[in-house]
Amino acid sequence: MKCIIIDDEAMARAIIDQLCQQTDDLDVVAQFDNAIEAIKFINKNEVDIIFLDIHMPTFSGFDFLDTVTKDVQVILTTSDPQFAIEAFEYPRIKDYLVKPVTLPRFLKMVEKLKAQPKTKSAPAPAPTSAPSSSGPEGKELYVNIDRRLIKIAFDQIFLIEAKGDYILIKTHDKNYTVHSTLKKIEEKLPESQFIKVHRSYVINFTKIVDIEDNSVLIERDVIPISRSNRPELMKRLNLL
Amino acid sequence: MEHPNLDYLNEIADGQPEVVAQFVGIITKEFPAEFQEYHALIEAKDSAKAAAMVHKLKHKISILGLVQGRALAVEHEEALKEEDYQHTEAFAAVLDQIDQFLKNN
Repeated sequence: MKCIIIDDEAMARAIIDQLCQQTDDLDVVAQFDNAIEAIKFINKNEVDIIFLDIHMPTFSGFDFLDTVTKDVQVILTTSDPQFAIEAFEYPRIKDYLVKPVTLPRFLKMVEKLKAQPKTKSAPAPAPTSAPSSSGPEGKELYVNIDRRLIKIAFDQIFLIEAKGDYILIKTHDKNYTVHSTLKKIEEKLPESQFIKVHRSYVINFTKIVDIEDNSVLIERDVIPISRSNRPELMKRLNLL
Repeated sequence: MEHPNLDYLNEIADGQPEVVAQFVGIITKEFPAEFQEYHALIEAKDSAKAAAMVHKLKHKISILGLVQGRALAVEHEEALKEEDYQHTEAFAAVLDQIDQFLKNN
């Protein structure tokens, strides 16, 4: 079985890699310190098993699970046993290894994997016609930055990213960090032009360069598309 | 009092000294940066990021066989999430112990 390891800690990756070497059933084909790079790899390569750390900066293991649609089995690796219940809400998660992982526990997981049939991901729904325009009137919005109200034209915005208590508005000319939430700005944006593709990203639909499986290229940014947001995005595409 | 050890890494390495050496190399490379970053975050009173760093360090503490150290890390991480710094001094002692251990290995 071809495996990849996703963990921001080199030490954690080295341990899983070493454990994989102690069984004939697992072949580690790549390792990643962040989930975004792993998604790109998965989109282009055959992978059977993913060892996935939950607790990673900016893009967590659960974000990854929400994004990846490919038929692949996932083994979560974490130092937090309390995530176990949430983990098993995802059918693709086949086991949950608490760090530091011991060899007997690892081998038990391998046996469990061998005994299980692979899951099949649900196919994406067929695209339909685009929805009618709706949302706020006007062509711009004002944001409060350092007590100045700055006008940003909708056409200039290509994406908005949630960053904790702030949002990052990216435009052609510059980026604006504003104390607000994705939900609040969504209400101010025209629905015909903007769409949420992930819990941390709203994109300007008209600025899409291309879409590859579960990521979208907007200007120079590759943005993940979550499984739950993908059907709505697909509906909007004027597919040939 | 417990002391850092390589028991776990020896077990994982399946009796291969070069693999243990490789592990120690990685931990020796990763730990000082995390150690420094943690102290800087505590100094800056950035409890949320400090908690995330404790989470990262927790794994290394476990790897080096510090059972009580790990339990303290769990408490410290949770406390920091509530902006509670009560375990800072005790946790710093655990990190110092690891730092010394790695310098001697």
